[in-house]
Parts: sequence; C-alpha cells; structure tokens
Amino acid sequence: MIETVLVESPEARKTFWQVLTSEKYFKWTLIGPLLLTLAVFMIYPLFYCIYYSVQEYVLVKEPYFIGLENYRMVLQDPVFWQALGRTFYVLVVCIAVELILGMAIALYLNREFRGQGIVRGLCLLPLLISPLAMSLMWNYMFHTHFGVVNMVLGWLGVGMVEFFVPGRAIYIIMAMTIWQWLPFSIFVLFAGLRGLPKDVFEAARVDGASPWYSFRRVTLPMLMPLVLIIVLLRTCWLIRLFDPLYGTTRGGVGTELLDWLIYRVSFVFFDVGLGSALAIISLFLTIVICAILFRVLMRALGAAR
Amino acid sequence: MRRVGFWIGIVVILSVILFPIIWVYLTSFKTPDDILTTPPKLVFSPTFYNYEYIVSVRPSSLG
Repeated sequence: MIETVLVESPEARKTFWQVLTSEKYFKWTLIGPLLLTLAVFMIYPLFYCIYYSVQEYVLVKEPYFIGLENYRMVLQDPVFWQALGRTFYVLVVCIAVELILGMAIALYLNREFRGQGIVRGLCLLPLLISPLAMSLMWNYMFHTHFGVVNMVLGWLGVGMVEFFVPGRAIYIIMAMTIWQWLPFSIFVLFAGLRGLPKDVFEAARVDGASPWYSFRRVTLPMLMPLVLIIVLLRTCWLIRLFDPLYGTTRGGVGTELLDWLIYRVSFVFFDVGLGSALAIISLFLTIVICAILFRVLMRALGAAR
Repeated sequence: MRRVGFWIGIVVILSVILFPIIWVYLTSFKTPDDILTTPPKLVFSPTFYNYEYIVSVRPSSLG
C-alpha cells in the first residue's frame, strides 16, 4: 500500500481567496470595506478641509498659503460669535424642551390601553420625514397670508401674526426642530421606563412616597444614563442644525446658526479657505463638548451599575 | 370618566404631532390656486394635478 502524501507549500499554492479567509487575515477582510469607506468619505475630506483652512482660496483665484490667517479672521468676526451664541441658545432650549416634553409624554403613554401600538406608532412619524422637505412645508404653513397656523390663530382670536421677523423667527426654527425630534426623546425615555424593575416602585408606594417624590427619587436617577444619551446625541445633531433654515429663513432675520454661516461663506461667497476654517472650528467644538458629555455619561453608567 | 380624560390627552398629543403631516398630505391634493388662498381652504375639490406634474411635466424628475 502506497500512501501518497501531498506536500503543499502553504505560501505557493494558496489562492487569493484562501489568503483572505485565512485565520490571520480574516479580520482585515471583514473590516476592510469599512476602513476603505471611512478613508474615502471621512478622512480624506477632513484632511482636505484642514489643508484648505490654511490657504487663501476664493474660487476664482489660485489658492496660496496664508497660515492661520483664516482662523484669526474667524475669531475676530462678531458674526461668527453671534452665530455661535445663537447655536448654543438653540441647543439648550431645544434639548430642555425635548427632554421635559418627551419625559411627560413617555410617562403618559407608559400604561396599557386599547390601541396602544397604533398611538405609539403614530407618535414616531415626524422622525421619518426628511427634515428638509418638512422645512419647506413649515415655511408654507407659517406663511403670514396662506399659512394654516395663522388660520388657527385667527380662530382663537389672535389675528394675523408675522412669524419670520427678527427675534421671533429663531423660536419658529426651534419649534420645527422640537416637533421633528421630540419622538426621539419620547421613545428613548419610553423604552427606559418599560425596562425599569417594578418592585422598586411598589416598595416606594408601600413606604408612602407620593408619585412626584417617587418620580424624582426613583425614576429619574434610574433613567439618568438615557437622559444623558439623549443630551449627547442631540448636542451632536443640533450643533450642525441646517435643514430648518434652508427651507425657511435662509439665515436671515436673526437666525444665522453656525452651520448656515459655514454654508454661506463657502458656497455663497465661495471663500472656501475661510469656510474650511469655520468647519474645522465647528468640528473641534463638537468633539470637545461631546467628549465631556461622553465622560459624564460613562460615569453615570458606572454609578448606575 | 378618567378614561375619557386620558383619551382627550392622547388626542391632543396626536393632533399636535400629526397635524403638520396631515396638512402636507391635504395640500398635495390641492391645485396651486387652492394652495395660495387667504384663509387656507379646508374644503376643496381634490386633484392629482401635483402628482401628474412631478412624474410628467418637470423634466428633472423621474418621468
């Protein structure tokens, strides 16, 4: 009996596919497409942006290096500080209102009733609409003469109100944003409420705690990580709030936010260098704020355990 | 009685959340003349004009 032993030199005979699926390289095969996508769509544009932020680059001329001049111009510009302050004002008001209303509605829906699935599903609808399309529709609905909001206000006897005027327009923008993103807070908090253990509340009730007291001392501390997650994500999203402005005021009447300023400088004035510097500053601010919030969140998660 | 109060609350929440969407939906069946009236029309004759317009007339659209 003759045994044939096939001696394979492992390097020579392997096909490309075998190399890809071998134990050593399989992990790279799996994350490869992701890394490639990140490199092309995130890292390359980021470095492109950093590169142009130190150049004088107005689209009609050849770019040339000017160092940190763009950053100096941005930081000395009162328009930038105004836009930044306004962005943070919108941020704080929107997150506060969304959290309070979201918590109230989540507590309201947190019981068994007929048709609960339908009601909860309908509450989710605003999240599914494109913010840009909705902002165009809000512009129509808040129109002074043709808008339905003024019609309702007319029924209530308020009369014609002009909405997009300085000092008022920013609150209309906030209202649009809150309407669109309220379901997010409702459902995150609602999921949290569903997951809470029942026995703690029974113990609190037996001990004679009022509903408000048990909410403040039992529910709220246990939901704290979720509240912080909402604050973290909404901060990231609200710093680059753009869509509600595009359909309505287009940065006018005292509603210019940070992202609109970047858009205006880069694509209306075509000052790409200055726009890139603004974008880098905005990115830096977002990273710093979110890093702080993330640490607070991690500490809260550690405390909750 | 408490159930009625609860359902009034549900109706208030849902009408605030859904009203803009319903209004967009209604507007999509109005003619341009009906859209730009003061005050806005609640009763109108529905038309598919806008849907025909986006699939056939505008050259940049799908049709």
